[in-house]
Amino acid sequence: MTPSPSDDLAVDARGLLKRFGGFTALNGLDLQIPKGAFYAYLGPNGAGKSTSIALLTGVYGPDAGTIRMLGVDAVKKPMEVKRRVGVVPEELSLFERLTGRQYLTFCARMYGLDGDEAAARATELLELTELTYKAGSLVSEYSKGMRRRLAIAAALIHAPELVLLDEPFEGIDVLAAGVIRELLRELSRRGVTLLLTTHVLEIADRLATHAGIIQAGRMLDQGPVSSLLQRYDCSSLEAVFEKLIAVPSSRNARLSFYGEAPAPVVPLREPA
Amino acid sequence: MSRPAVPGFFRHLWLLWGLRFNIGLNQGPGKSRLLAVGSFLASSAPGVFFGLFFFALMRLKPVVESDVWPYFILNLLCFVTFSVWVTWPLLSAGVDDHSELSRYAAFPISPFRLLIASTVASLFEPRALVFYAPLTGAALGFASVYPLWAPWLAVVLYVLFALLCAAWSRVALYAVINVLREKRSAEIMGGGLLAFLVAASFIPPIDTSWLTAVGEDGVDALDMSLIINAAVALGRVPPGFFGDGLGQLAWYRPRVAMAEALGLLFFAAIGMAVAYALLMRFHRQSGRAGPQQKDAKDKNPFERTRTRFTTLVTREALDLWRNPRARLLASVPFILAILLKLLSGRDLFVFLLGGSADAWLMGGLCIYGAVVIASTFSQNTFAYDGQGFAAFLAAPLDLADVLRAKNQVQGAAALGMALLVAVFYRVYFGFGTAVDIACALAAVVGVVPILMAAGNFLSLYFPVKFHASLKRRDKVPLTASMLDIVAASVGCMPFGWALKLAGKDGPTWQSAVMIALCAGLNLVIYRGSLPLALRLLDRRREAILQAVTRE
Repeated sequence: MTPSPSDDLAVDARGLLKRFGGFTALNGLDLQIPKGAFYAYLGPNGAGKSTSIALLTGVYGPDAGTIRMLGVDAVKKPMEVKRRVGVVPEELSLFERLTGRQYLTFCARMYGLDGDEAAARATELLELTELTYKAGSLVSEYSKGMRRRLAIAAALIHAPELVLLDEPFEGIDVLAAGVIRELLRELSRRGVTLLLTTHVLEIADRLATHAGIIQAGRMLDQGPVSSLLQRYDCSSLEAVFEKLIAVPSSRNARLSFYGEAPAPVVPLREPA
Repeated sequence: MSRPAVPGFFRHLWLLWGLRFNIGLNQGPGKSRLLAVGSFLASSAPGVFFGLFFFALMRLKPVVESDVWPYFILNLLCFVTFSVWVTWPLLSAGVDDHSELSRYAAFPISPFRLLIASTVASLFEPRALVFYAPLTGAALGFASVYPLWAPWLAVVLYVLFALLCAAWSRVALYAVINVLREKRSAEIMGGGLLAFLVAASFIPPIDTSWLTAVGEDGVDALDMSLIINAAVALGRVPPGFFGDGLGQLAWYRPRVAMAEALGLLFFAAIGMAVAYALLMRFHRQSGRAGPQQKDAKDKNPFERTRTRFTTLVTREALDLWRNPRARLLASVPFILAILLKLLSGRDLFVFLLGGSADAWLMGGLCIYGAVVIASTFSQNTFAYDGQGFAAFLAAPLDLADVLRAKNQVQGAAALGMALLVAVFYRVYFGFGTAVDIACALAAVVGVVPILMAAGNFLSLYFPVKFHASLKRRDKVPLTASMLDIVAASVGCMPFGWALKLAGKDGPTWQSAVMIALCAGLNLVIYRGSLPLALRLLDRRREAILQAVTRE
């Protein structure tokens, strides 16, 4: 049997439409992620990134369009997809009154792993995410960075083939970001497909092999990073992003209640 | 790579029950599991008492020898257990965080299975042990006296009854959170209350003439046909199928009992289906708030505040007004009053308390209305502020003013609530003298300062974050809840004491003055405690910030 083009895609979503009341969050979105890619999913706030992830993970159903993930129809067979996909949502709804170790073991059991295997993987992941010293503490006592790392560990506990990460670098310090970055690199090396939404374009530039930029629920462009850079004659994803998205200029911003602007006491650095 | 199979229903059930169990065990302060187990046992202890009481009652000779009383008691307990279980989400304004589907979105479990499994798992909570204890005791007492045709069928009936209660409790819970999530929840609830009021006015209140007869001529004057009719009627509504089914087993009519079991299953399934539809509706609508247009009602009250303190007061008032939990709680005393009238509860109180009945009832409802507002929001006064508390700390203002503003708004809301309830009672029931109203309101004036004083210290010593979104169930530590209940009880004591002194003759102006004097004393206590609380607030600001800004 000849493999269809979508067999090479970890995610193949076409014409996604999602409305919340009168608000259209996704407006015919197409999203294609090749297997093994590290896909940076970029867009301004409210563009529809989190909604698309919610659709991919089955939190919401699409009003129109199709979603195939790892070759499986995600709308018709969500359980089959969930067994093979890991998710780190933007809003971390962790169970606060479980310890880190309990939380990971619970997640593993929900994926059908037996007790010993669940415990062993929990220990390994706690170590990998540098949380072993807090394994016995309640999640409510974790810092933001620790929660993010724990959520990532939970998303990996069933060895998913595809991991969706919604803003994993949001509000965390450099050290935690470093741990996460290395973990993502390691996953990418092992052939795991990664979809990452982030506003930190520098991270996307350093990690991503593919990228897609959306605005107002529509995909503006997507493809391998090298192709995008070539197509828009840019040296970075940030520059591509600025070209595709109408970035509001703040050069002429004025605060009238400050009065007339005197010469700055300390000269400002000019942007590079 | 070979992957383990998706867990089956019973494995999911076991996992979700285990989750609740572990969360329960970790609920104590610090890591004290012993304290958590102790709290669990303490909170379920009343269940043991109720269970034993009804077990013994069913074995009493006059009950055993009667052809009516065992069935009446069983069917009544079925109805009461069902009603309490179903209305609990409303009364407690509790939201079960296991209904937050997005928490489980990543796992290979369908929303329907999640609903069923978490509903069944919820049957093993401490409150279940208390609520089911009377019926369980009565059923066991009944079974110990009357040999049943097939005890296993009795167990099946019991399990199905529990499922029926759980399913319709979910319906109530999801209906409530759906309404509260609506932008116009205040209008919907107000309209619903009005519709309920109108509908209730068409239902004739329960005939309580038997109370008067028993009061005048003793128990022998009781017309047993009333009890028989009540037992039959209660046995014909779905919750009564369990009690009636037990009776059928005792009468060796297994087919009828089997039909009752099927009836329970049928109505439980309908409940689950409705609950599922409501849950999915809630879930689907929790994504985006709607079109990004300027709200026509987006008035800005801060434009006209004169001082920094009035700005703080205005913010607190807005926050309370927009809190869906406050709206829900505010409706409860009115619903209780309507139910009281429908069930002719006032007649019962008049029979028991004579001329004091209206003062007790009006006072009770007013205090309840005031306490649910004042207590819920004052015992964790910074809980809803979240990052806003950090903004208070960063702003050039005295943190003491924030606490004072909160106290003023919560106190005023509680008093306003009590006043509304008193007026409603007077108009709706058509009873209640000026003295009764004065006693009720003076009682509230007495309770509120004590709640505020206690709430201030509880907020400082047991700070936790609350979510206004209704998606999460936020629990105050059990110790804090207990201490607040103690404070409310202390605050109510002058009222109870004055009415007890008044006896069946009813309260006089002297009673009202007595309560008002105690209220004055409570105000002095509040004023005296406030500087201490403010000093403590200054010392505990970092602990509070940490608690209310956590993720």
